[in-house]
Amino acid sequence: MALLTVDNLTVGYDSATGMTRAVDDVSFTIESGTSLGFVGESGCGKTTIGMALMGLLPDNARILHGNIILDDQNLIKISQEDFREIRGRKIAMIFQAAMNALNPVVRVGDQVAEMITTHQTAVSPVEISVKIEELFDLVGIPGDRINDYPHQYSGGMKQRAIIAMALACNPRLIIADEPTTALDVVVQDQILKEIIKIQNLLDTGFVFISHDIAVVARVCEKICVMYDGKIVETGTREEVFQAPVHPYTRQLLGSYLTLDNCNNIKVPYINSRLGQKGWEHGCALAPLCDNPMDKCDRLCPGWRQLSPTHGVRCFKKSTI
Amino acid sequence: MKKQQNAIIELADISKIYYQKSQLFHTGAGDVVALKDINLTINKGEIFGLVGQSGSGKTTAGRLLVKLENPTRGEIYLKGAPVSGLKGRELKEYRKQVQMIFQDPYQSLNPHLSIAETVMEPLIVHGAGTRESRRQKVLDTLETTGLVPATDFYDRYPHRLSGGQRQRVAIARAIVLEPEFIVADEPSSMLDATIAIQLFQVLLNIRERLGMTFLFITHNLAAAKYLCDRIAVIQNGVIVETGHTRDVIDHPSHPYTKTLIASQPSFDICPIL
Amino acid sequence: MSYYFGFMHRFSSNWKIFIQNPLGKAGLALLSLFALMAVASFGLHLLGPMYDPMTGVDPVVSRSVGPSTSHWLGTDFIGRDILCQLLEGAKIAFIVGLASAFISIIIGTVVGMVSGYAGGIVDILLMRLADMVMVLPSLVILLIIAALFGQLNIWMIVFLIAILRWPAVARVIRSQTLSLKQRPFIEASRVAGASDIRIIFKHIMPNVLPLAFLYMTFRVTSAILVEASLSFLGFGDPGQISWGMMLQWVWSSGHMFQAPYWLLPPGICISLLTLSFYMVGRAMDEVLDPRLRREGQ
Repeated sequence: MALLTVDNLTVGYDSATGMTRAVDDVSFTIESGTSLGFVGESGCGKTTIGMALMGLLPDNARILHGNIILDDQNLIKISQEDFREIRGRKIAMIFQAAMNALNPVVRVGDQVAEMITTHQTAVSPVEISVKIEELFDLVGIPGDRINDYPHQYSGGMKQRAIIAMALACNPRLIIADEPTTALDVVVQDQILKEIIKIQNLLDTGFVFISHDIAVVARVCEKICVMYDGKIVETGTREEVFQAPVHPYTRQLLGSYLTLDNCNNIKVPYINSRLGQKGWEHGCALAPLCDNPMDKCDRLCPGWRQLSPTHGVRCFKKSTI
Repeated sequence: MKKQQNAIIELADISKIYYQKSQLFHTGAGDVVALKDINLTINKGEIFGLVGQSGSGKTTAGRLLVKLENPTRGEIYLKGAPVSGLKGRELKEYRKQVQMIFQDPYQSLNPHLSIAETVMEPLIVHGAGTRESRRQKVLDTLETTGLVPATDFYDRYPHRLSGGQRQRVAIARAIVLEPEFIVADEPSSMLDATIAIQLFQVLLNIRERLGMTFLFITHNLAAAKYLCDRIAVIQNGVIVETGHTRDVIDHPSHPYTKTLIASQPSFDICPIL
Repeated sequence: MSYYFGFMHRFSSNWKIFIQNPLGKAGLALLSLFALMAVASFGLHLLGPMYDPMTGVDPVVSRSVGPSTSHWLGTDFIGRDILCQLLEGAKIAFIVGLASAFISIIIGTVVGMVSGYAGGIVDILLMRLADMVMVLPSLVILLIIAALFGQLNIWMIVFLIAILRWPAVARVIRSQTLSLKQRPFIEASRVAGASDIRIIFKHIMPNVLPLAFLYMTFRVTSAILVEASLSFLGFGDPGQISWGMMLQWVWSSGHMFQAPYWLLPPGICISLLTLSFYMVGRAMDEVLDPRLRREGQ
């Protein structure tokens, strides 16, 4: 029994020109203690998925169809009231702009304590302080910094505090939306190590959203590659990164600069068109594809399962 | 100062200190030393990388070079001529030769100006060409930066453009006067990896065709390795290591450089890459 | 030229948002009604000399009478038609409101942009000046000037209101300019070699202008009220008929509680016209600040 099952989730935004689909027919599952990464470029809908899971979609967004089932409970059908009960307690989120998520005039320890008391009423002050010390120890903040104010923390420490807050109520599922994007490489490295350590210690499900494939590759066992609202390839880390099938995945990987591949980097086609093509008329990726077939411009490719874990949305059979 | 033959830009003992304001007695307690005794020489036609974490002072160095700020101590030389205290016409002449590409393409274009107006502004300000020749120059420059066909973009406004396209407009604005030297302040940090690599191609292409010299400011060592001939690693306002890019990255000598290299993301699980 | 097209494009999309707002719709409808009244006042002479709002006295009426077929809203104490005066008053209200708001917006915008962009001593001096003018009670100052120099003509009143009412605009524009000044596109322009004048008028002004227009609607409201108060107190331009002046006549001729047909129309008009400008301003606020906008439908 999976911890989280998402079926055919479709989310649309009302806009001046009508309904635009930010998330289009997305399905996935997460087991307890595993992590799933969403990777894609800005505007591919990955953040909208996170928001939909948290029940925090903006007012002009609507879930058009699909189900989000967490522990036998369909989150689409429950009221805002009940969702508030679930947020923080069962699902927690580590936000993109974590630096601004702390209240500057409240001590960091008290902010974590507040997280605990809002969801668990019957806990004694002693239990809370023990719990906070445990949490800070877990995320690697020294115990003597618990009573500091946020401005006394560095960027990395704030991010650790945010992770501590997310873990405060032992959630079943944690959604991390670009948790390291605002940090520079050295701090990012430390935070990712911390997250991996926590994953190994706890039996929590992780949804990890990032535009940075290297970050996702380090943290997640399963990966979904998204483009323009649709998942174009999914599989285990090894399948997606070592045997990518979809041309777009290959492009993402091939153009990612690391210290070792500067000499054989593949520069994707320069696409100077305005706006994206969309999925209505053929494959949205056809203009970016290095070797499209005739039908790619006419037909939207269906989903093909290559192995029980590896699937792809592309007509092409073989890896080149 | 020994002057090298082909040096375009030299920074000699540059320091920048931000003094704490509104103190009755200046104790120096709240002062921030952004740069401390920086010495750099950037040669004609090279892409020089300045690599460091946020808060290391790398952006301040770029702002000093385009004279958005002035150094507290030290002197900057453009082709051997000191640039401190330039005013009026001389400053304008300097601006013609030294341009900048900013980090955030969503902030660096005026939303009320069309692409044509944005790119044409430097030409108008410096009174270059006629109305017709300016138009042609803007179109050519847009093409150079990969905004093809340029006429599609000419009359557009920034809000219709993607981040990568905006950054190309910003590059077009920087190169339209054909300056000697361009400061590129983390031009790719707000962009996706596939867009960033295309942008790097544009920069390399410009260097190739127009022979411009770049200072490339970044926190991404891999990007520096890809683009730069030489790099300097900066930590807390001090340059800790400098040299040819391959030498510095393959044989780092300073512990900070080693830390930076160790923290770089990589696909150690993906041997095929 | 392309700037013009961009402006039109922006204008048409903003117009859609504006007109979807019930406040904006109602405000605009009311405003059009008053504008019609003001325009109608130019046609009064066609009705004959009896209907001149200032000098046209009905020979058969020698005191204030209520509504009748020849005088729809009745007459004042010497037999002048109240409806005609009301129409004339609408014209004056528009002139006073728009002209003085316009002048104060120009002063306020220029002072605010220069102050915010220049910073330093220029900023301090201009803002202290603005503070000094801001704390002056406009009505009292106008009364003193009127008492010292005799009756003021309408353009003098317009100008004085404008001179006394720019500081609030300057403050808002200054703070907007301060945040714009930090934006990279202004720095990019400086690096390109643009002069300060060019940066202020080419880059900063288009970005603060919408805000200035928004403030203009609120300035109109306050200018109309100041002029009405001044006239009611008997210091208005004796050569012009304004709604405040009409109220003053009601009061001074002792008809305050005898002639509601005379007292109510100017009072209601003042309230409704200021209200309509206020509503238009609030709707514009929503256009300018997308955070206030209700997304969706």
